[in-house]
Amino acid sequence: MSDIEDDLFNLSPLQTTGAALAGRRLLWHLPTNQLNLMYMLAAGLVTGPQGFGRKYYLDALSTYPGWIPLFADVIPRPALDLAVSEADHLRRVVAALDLSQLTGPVRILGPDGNIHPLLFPDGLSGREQVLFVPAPLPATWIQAILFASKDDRVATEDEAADYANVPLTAHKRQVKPRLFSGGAPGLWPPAPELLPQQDAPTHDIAAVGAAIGLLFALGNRGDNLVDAARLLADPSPAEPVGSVDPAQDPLLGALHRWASPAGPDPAQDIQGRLLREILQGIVQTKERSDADPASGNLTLDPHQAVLDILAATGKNLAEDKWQAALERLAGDLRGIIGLGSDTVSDLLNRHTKPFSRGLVLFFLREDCQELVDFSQALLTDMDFVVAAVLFGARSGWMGLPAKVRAHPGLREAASHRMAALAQLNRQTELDLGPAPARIQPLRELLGPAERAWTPPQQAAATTLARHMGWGDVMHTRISLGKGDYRLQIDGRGAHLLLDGEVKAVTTEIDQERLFIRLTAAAIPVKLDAQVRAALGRH
Amino acid sequence: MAGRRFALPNIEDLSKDQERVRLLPKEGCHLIVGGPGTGKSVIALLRARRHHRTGGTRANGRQDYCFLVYNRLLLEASRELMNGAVNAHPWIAWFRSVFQSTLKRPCPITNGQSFAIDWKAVGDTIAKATDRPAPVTPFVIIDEGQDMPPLFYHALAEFGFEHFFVVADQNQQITEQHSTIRDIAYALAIDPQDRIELTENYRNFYPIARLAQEFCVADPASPCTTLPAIQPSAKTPVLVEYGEGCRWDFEEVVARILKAADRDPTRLFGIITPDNDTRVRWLNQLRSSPLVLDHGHPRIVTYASGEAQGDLRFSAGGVFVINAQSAKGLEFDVVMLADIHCYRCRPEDQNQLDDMKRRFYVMVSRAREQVVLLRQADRPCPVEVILPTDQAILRRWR
Repeated sequence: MSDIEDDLFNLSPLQTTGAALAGRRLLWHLPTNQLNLMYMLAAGLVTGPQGFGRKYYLDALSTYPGWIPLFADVIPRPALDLAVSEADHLRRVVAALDLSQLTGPVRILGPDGNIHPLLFPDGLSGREQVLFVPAPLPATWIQAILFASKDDRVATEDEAADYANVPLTAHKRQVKPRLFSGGAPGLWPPAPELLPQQDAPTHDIAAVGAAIGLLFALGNRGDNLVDAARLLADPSPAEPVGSVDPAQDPLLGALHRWASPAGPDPAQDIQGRLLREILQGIVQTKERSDADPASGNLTLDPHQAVLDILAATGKNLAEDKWQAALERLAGDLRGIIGLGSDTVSDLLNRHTKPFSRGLVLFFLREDCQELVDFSQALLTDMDFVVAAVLFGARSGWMGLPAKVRAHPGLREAASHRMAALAQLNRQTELDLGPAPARIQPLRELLGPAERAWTPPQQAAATTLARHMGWGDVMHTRISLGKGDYRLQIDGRGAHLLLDGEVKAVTTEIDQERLFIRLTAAAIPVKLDAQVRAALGRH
Repeated sequence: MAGRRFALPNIEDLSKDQERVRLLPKEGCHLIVGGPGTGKSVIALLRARRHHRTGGTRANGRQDYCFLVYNRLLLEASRELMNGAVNAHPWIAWFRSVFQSTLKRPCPITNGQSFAIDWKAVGDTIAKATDRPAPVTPFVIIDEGQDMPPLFYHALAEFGFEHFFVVADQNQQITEQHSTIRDIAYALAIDPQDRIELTENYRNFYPIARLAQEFCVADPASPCTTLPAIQPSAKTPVLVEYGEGCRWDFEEVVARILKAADRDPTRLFGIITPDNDTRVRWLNQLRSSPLVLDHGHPRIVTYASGEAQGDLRFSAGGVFVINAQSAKGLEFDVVMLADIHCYRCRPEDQNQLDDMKRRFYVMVSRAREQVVLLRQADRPCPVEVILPTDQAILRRWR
C-alpha cells in the first residue's frame, strides 16, 4: 500500500474511540464551499448538483451526481480544492453530518479504487474512509459546520446574514484547521462512472415541504387545514391517517397521493385530478427553467402553466357544463392578473368551490406571506388548503417566509419529510429513521372543539386568551355560598361585600369563541411558545 | 392599508455573477455595469448594508461609507428598502457638504442654483488647496453612476477618496452632464477591461425583460441583458387602446386600474406619464372616481420636480403617478405607461428614435411583475415605430 493509500484507508485516531470501535462511525464529512453549504441549509437538503437549481458551484458532490460523498477524518486535498476551483470568492467549508438515523444500502470506496456496496451501519468495519450515500439527506443532519480559520467562520456568518433564508446560526460552527490540512490525494478522485448518475431536481419534494409549512402556518384557521397537514406529513398513500380518511374527500385524497410516491388515482374525480396536474405543472415550470442554461435567473410563468392545463383539460371533457365552467374560471383568472373588472368579493361570490377559490388566491397573490396574511370573510378553511399547496408548489421550501420556516421543530420535520419522500420516490431503500414529531398548530393542540379540555389545555387556552386580550372568550366565575350580598360602589369601583370567604374564583374559557378567535388571529411567536409550554410541548 | 414588504434576497435569487459582485473586496475601486433589472442597485444596497452592519462606524459615531443616489425619490426608496439603516444621500447635496467641510468654503455653483455645481471652479479650487484632510467616509457607493459628470469623479479622487463601488448603465443616461463608462473608469483609475458586467435579469419577470430588450440600444459599453427565447406567459405586456371604436373609454380604463389596485392593496402601481398635463389628467381621474371597492379608495400619490411634495412612501401599496423623467431607478410591481401617443419623436431621425428607445427601456424595466401600455385610439402615435409587432412580446387590445 502506498503512502497515499495509507492516509486514506488506515485507521485514524478518532476511530479508536466510542462508536468507532464497533465500526459504527456516525459523523461523516462533506467538503464543499460556503455558498453551496448556504444553499443546502436554505433548501433543507443535502443534495446533488441538480438540487441547486442554477447556482451550483463545482465540489465533491459532482463526483457521482446524486451520490453524496462523505469522508471520515481525512479529506483529500483534491476534494477540498475542487470546492473552491470555480471562483475566487469561494471558501472551503466542511459539513459534519450525523448519520445515526441512517440505515440501508450505501456504497464505499474501497482500497482497490473500486466502489463496493455496504449495508449501513451494520456493514461498517471501521476502516472505511469514503462513503457514497444516495441524495438527498436532511440538512438538519448537519451537526456542525467546520471552518479552516476564525476569519473564514466570521466571513461566512457575515455573508449568510445578507440572505433571508440561510439558517446558518441554527447549526454549530467550529474552527477545525486539521480537517483542512488536506490528506494526500490517494484514490481521490475515483474513476468516473463507477456509480450510475442518479441526480434529480428537488422542486417536487420542496413543494411538499413548503405545503407542510404553509398548512402549519394557516392551521389555526380550521380543521380541514389541520387534517391536510396531518395527511401531507404521512408518506403512505391513500391510507387513513388518524381520523382523516383521504378516500372520503377527493381533494384531500389527491393531495395525499401527490405528496407520496403513489401515482394518480384513475378513479379520482375531475377536480382532484386537475389539482394534481396543476401542482405537477407548476413544479415542471421550475424544472424546465433550471434546465435551460439561457434562462439566467428568469423562471417560466406558473400562471401560464395553470391556464394551459385548464385549457387542455377543458378540451378533453365530454360534458359541456364542465368545459364552460373551466373556460369561465380561466377567463376570471386572466382578469385577476390583467385589467379585469372584478373585485375580490365579486370573484369569491362567483367561485364557491375550494378548487376554484384556491386558484383565485393563487392568481391574486404572489408570495406565501401574502397568503398567510390574507383574510376574507367568504373564504373557508378548505379554500386555504388548496391555496396552501398551490403556493407551496410555486415557492418551494426555500421560498417560505423566514418567520414560518423558523418555527421550532418545523425545519427538522420538513427536511426529514422532503428527504424521506425523495428516497421513496427514487426507490433507494434507504431508511432515514423515525420522522421528527410533526409540528401541530395550536388549533390541533387545543382541539377537538367538541371535547372537554384537559387541565394543560385549559391552562394553555387561558394563557392564550389572556395574552391576546380576548375578553369575550374569558369569563370569571366567583362561587359564593348561600347568603345575602351587598354591592358597594365608591370612587374605586364596585365591590361585592359578603360574609365569610369566597369558595373559588375560576377563569373559564368559552371554547367555541376561542376557536373562532383563533381562526383569524396572528399569534405572536413568543406567546405561541408559551402556550405550547403550558401544553407540555416544546 | 397593508404595507409592501421589502426584503433581503433569498440565496437562490442572486445569480453567480451577482454573487461574485456582492463578495468583491471592501477595498479598492469597482465598476459594475448592467442594464435595468440586472440587480446592480440591489447589490449596491447589500454592500451598503454590510458596511452599515459590520464595524462601519468610526470612533466619532459616523459611518465610514456613504451611499449616493441621484435624486430625492431614489433617496426615499433606498432608505425604505433598508428600513432607514443606510447612510444615503443625494449626490449633489453630499458633494457640496464634502467640499465645504474639506476646504472650509462653499461649493461653487452657477447662476445661484444650488443644484448647478460649477465643476470647473471646483476643479480649480481643489487644485489650489494645499491642506486637505482625509475623507471622513472613505468608502463611496454610487448608484446610477452614469448620471454624475466626469468632473465629479475627478474631484472625489483629488479629495483622496480611494474606495469606490460604482454601478452604472450607459443606456440609462438621463442627464446632460453624464459620464460614460470609460469616463468613470478613467477618473477612478480602473482599467475599463476590469469593469464587471451583469447581464442576467434579476428584478423583472421574463415578459417584462423581453419587452425591455426590444428597446435596448446596442452599446458595447453597456451591454443589453441576455435572455432566452420567447416564452409564453399569462403576464405578457399589453398595449391597450381606449376611446373611439374601442371596448373601453378613459373612465373605464381608470376604473379597471383602481380595481386592480383594490384586488391587492399591497401592490404598488406606477403610472408613468409623458408630461405634466397628462400626469394631472390621470391623477385627477383616479382621485375623483366614484367607484365602490372592497378596500376603499386606494392611496393615490404623485411626485413632480419643483412641486411641494407629500406622501412619497414606496413601502405602501397604491398608485404612484409620475412623469417619465422621474421614473429612473424606481421600482413598481406594475408599470403603466400612460398615453404613449403623447411622446414626440420623428421616425426618420435615428438619434431621436434611439433616445426614445432608451426612455422606454428605462420605464418598462421599472416593473417587477407587469407592464401595460396605454394610448388613445384616435390620436397619432409617433412611438408606434419602436414598439414590437410580435404579439408574443407585446399583446394588443382595443
